Parts: sequence; C-alpha cells; structure tokens
Amino acid sequence: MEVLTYLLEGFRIAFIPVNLFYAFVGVFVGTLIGVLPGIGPAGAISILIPISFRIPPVSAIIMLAGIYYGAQYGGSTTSILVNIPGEASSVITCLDGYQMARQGRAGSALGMAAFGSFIAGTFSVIGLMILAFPLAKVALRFGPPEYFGLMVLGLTIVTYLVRGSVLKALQMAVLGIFLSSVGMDVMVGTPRFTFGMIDLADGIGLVPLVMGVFGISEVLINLEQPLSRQIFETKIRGLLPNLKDWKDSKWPIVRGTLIGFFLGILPGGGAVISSFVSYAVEKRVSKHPEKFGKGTIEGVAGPESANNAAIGGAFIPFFSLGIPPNVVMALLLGALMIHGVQPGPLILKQHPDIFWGTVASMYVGNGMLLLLNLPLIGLWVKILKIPYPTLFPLILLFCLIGSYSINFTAFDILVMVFFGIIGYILRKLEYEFAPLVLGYVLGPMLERSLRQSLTLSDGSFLIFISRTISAVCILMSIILLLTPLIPYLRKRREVLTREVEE
Amino acid sequence: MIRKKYQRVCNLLWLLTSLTICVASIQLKLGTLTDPGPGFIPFGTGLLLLFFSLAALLREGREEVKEEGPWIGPYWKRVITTIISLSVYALILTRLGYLLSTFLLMIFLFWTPGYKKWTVIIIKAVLSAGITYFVFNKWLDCQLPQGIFGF
Repeated sequence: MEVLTYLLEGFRIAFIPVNLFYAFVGVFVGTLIGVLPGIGPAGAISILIPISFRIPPVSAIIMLAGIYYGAQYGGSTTSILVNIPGEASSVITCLDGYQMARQGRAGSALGMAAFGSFIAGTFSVIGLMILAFPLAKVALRFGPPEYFGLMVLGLTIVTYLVRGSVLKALQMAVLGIFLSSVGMDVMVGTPRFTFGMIDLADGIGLVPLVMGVFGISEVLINLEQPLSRQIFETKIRGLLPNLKDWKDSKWPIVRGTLIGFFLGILPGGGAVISSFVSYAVEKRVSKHPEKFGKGTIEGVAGPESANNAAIGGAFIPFFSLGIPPNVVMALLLGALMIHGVQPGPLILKQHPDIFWGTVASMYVGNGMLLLLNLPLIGLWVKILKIPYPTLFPLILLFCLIGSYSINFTAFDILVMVFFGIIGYILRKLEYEFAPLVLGYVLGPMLERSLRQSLTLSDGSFLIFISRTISAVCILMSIILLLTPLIPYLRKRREVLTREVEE
Repeated sequence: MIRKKYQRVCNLLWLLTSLTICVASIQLKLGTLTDPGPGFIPFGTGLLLLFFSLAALLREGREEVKEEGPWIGPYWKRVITTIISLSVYALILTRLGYLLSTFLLMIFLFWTPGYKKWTVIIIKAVLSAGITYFVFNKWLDCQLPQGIFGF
C-alpha cells in the first residue's frame, strides 16, 4: 500500500507541466543524440548538466534520465537505416537491423525495436520500484568495509566485462582512481598533485574528463578519415510489426528484458553489455542460428529490449546504494550532488519526491518515446543526412560550452582537450574508457571507505574479510581477476570476445 | 608491427607514470595503517599501476599481431589543426568574448574539411555562434564570457 501511495505521489510530480516538459526535452534530446553518431548519452548529459543547475533537482533528474533511456531508442534508428550505431549499445542491432532494411523491412525492424524498447523499459521501471526499497533497507546497515567491498567488485566487473584486454582495463580503472585523488584530500584537505594551480584545487572536473575521452577523441578519430557517409535510401513503410514478427519476437523480448534488467543492476554491466549478451543468447537458443546476421527480427528485438531494460536496472544500485554502475549514472550522481542530494539508502526517506518522481516520469517518458519514435522516424532520417563536416564543428562547440559552463573557466576546456588527446591515442591502442571514468567517480568514495575502515580496525585489513558482505564482494573480485589466468576460462572469454566482434 | 611498437612505448610510459606517482605520493606523506595520510591511496594506485604495467610489458612478446589498417588515417593533419584550434580557443575565449572567439573557431572548423564557399562557411559560423549564444547566455543564463568588446 505504501508503495502505491508513493507511486501515485510520483505520478502527481511527473505530471506537473514543468516536469512533463523536462521529461519531453530529455527524451527528445536523448533520441536526437541517439540518432547522431559521435555523441553519446554521456556527452549529452555532460552538456546539459550546467542547465540542470538552474532547475529544481526533480526536474533535473527527470530530464537527464530521459536523455539516457531516450538515447537507447534513438540509437537503433541509425543502426537499422545506416548501419552506423548511434550508440555503443546499438552496435549489435546493425547486424540484423540493417539487413532487414536492405530487404525492405526497415519499418518492421524500427517498429519492433521501438515496441521491444517500450515493453522492456516499462518492465524494468516496475523492477526498479520493487527492488530499490528492500535493497535500500539492507544498505542502511552497510558500513565503510561493505561499501569498499561493493566498489571493488563494481570496478572488477567493469574491467572483466570489457571487450578487450583485462590488463588494459585494470590500468584504466586504477588511473581513474588516481585522477580522482587530484585536488584537496577528501579527509584532511591537503592539496594533492595540483602543481600549485588554483584551478586544480577542486580536482579534475568529471565533465571535461568525460567529454575529452568520449566526445573529443571520437571526433578526432573520425576527422582523420574521409568524412563522407553513405545513407541507405529505403522507403520506410509498415511500422507496425505483423503477427509473425510478434510471434518471432515475443520470447526474445522477454529474455532481453530479463538479461538487460539484471545485467543493468551489476556495477559495470549496463546497456552495452546487455545487448551483446542478449544477441549471443538469442543466437544460442534459436532453431535457425544461421539466419542471424542476415536479417532476422529476433536479432533486433532481443538486444533492443535488453539495452532499455538495463536502464531501470542501473537505477537500483544508484538510488539504493548511492553507487553509480556506469558512466552515465556517474554523471547523474554528480548532477544530484551539485543539487545537494546524495543518492543512497537515505534518499527514499529524505527525498522521496526525487525517487518516485523519476520512477513515474520513466513510465511517462517511455510512452512519449513510443509516440516520438514511430511517427517521427522521417525526421530522424533527415537529421541523419546532416553531413559530418557540418556536424563535427557543432559537436565540438557543444563540448566546449558544456565543459566551460560547469565552473565558468577556460581552464576546463584545456583539461577537456588534454583528455581528448589522451583518449585519441589510447583508443588507437584499444584501451576502453568505461573503467577509467568509473574508477574516477568511485575513487573518492573508495578512498574514504578504505581509510575509515582502516581507522575502525586499528589498521587491520582483516576487517574486509570479517564482514560477510565485504568478504563475499572481495572474494568474487579475486575470482574474477584470477579467471583470465586459467587457460580454459581465458580461451572461453577470448572466443566470446571474437564472436561479439565478428 | 607499428601498433606493437607504439604499444611498447605506451607500456614504458605507463611504467614511468606509475613510478612518478609513487615518488610524488611518498612526498605527500603516506601516514600509517591506523591513520592513512593523503599520499596513501595515490601510492597504492601507483603500486598497482606499476604491477599492471610490468605485467603488460611481460605479456607484450606473447601477444599475436593482428592484421590491421594504418596507424594514422590519411587526414591526420586535420587532427593536429583541430587540437591546436581548440587550445587557442581556450586561451582567447575570455579575452575576445564568446561571440567573436566562437565565430573565429567555427569558421576554421567548417573550413577544415575543405569547403570552398566562404559565404556558406561564414553563414554557418555566424548562425552557430549566434544561436548558441542566445540559447545558453540569454535563455539559459549560462554567463558566457563577454570579453574586451563586451559581447
């Protein structure tokens, strides 16, 4: 009953005209950046974070969350029509979606992607509502060792799940933790690695870092190649999937939803991994695995459901533990903290409006997306035709404004450019940035909980083994880190990575 | 093989970075286990980086070389000029103000891919600088820098 009362209150908040407006802005911008290759939800949220300072925290998180799940919807459009994934989580949709488009079934693919996303998105919001409460109650009993264990596990999972080398991912995660230590010491206030620069006293900004390694480096990589893009011209008709499409897609949608939701909860999981796992599962369980990659609708329905379901799942550790499981959630955490709201077990008591308002707005936003995506596909296709020589200066300009507007200092632009160059070089050497950013975001929390735990235990590391939750987390982390050393498991992982890349 | 050569340089740089972090952290004071100091965590990250970098160097010889495209794309000069232009933009932004410096930057960026029509380039630059100024400065009250000319 209590949940229902809160949910109704959430809907009251979500239906306030100003919140409806911000939800619409969020899902519209999300779909737009999902459609446009080259700027992901992390980049778009970074750009809009400064804007969110000027609006109430509930409206801000409603808008920023809308960008996140909107981008998953939009990303599929480019994958299907152009064979260019707008989002990393839509990479796998290219395989069958584009083939369907070539066979004249672009409408069915786009329609099923939108419906699958809607169904999965709605289910994951229900799951979030059910699971966040009990988890938050348990989390109230967590102390520094438990938080330390959970964060170590999160970082380990994100390094384990990268597509490339685990060793490189570990280097990036540790570098992220180090970068988070630049600035004032979290406990005693001593300046660290600031080189006497006042601009570094507050540390390296999250937004310049994220925009540099994700936005600027992506543009630089594209710039060194020819800038023309081929758009596959096809007539899009029949956006409503037929009965056979539904029959073929119903179980992939169910499986994709479950996979996405539960992988989304895991720190380091998220939309990208979920879509890949869903595709692999569908291929495995299919009676016709040879049809995958040649235009089968299961290859669109499963991954597109999974990447949307992962969003609701990702909000569970965010709201109930205060731990962001991926880069985008890390940005949302930063945005809420600027508003003076600390996500974590107490948020449900102290700011129920933010939690329930967001949950209810996600129902509303999913409905808006369905309405936006199907009738507006023509518009998204037109946007896709913006030539890259016109698009990339605008992407760079938004990155510049985004990083300047956080602290109103040009120093942040230089920081962004610096990380853009680092990102450009490291991309070429196949380093991935999710572990870096997660390490950076979790760094201060990790440091605080480690130092507090050691103070509590009189300097004994045994405190992490004597507490059940931290012991389990650390044991799981050790197992995960050791698996690449076991030849059989290493080979399995390499085979899976190769399959996904193929 | 070029990638392998760059990877080796990169691994050596990782090694150097980790050693620098360790030394700098010791100077910050490590504290004790019961009362960890400000250098405690950075030193730990330095040690971990050192360990992973050594492991990466040792693994280097055993990694198979994949078939790959060229290390740098054919239009690499665009990358250099874009980096320089963004850095110069950061340096002139507060002096010249948002509108003028953005206008100049956008002219350069629109021209970079090889556009010939200057009128089109100028119109695009004016529109992108003007519209973003209006949206962020006037509408969203973002306080973009005014510069010496006051706009």
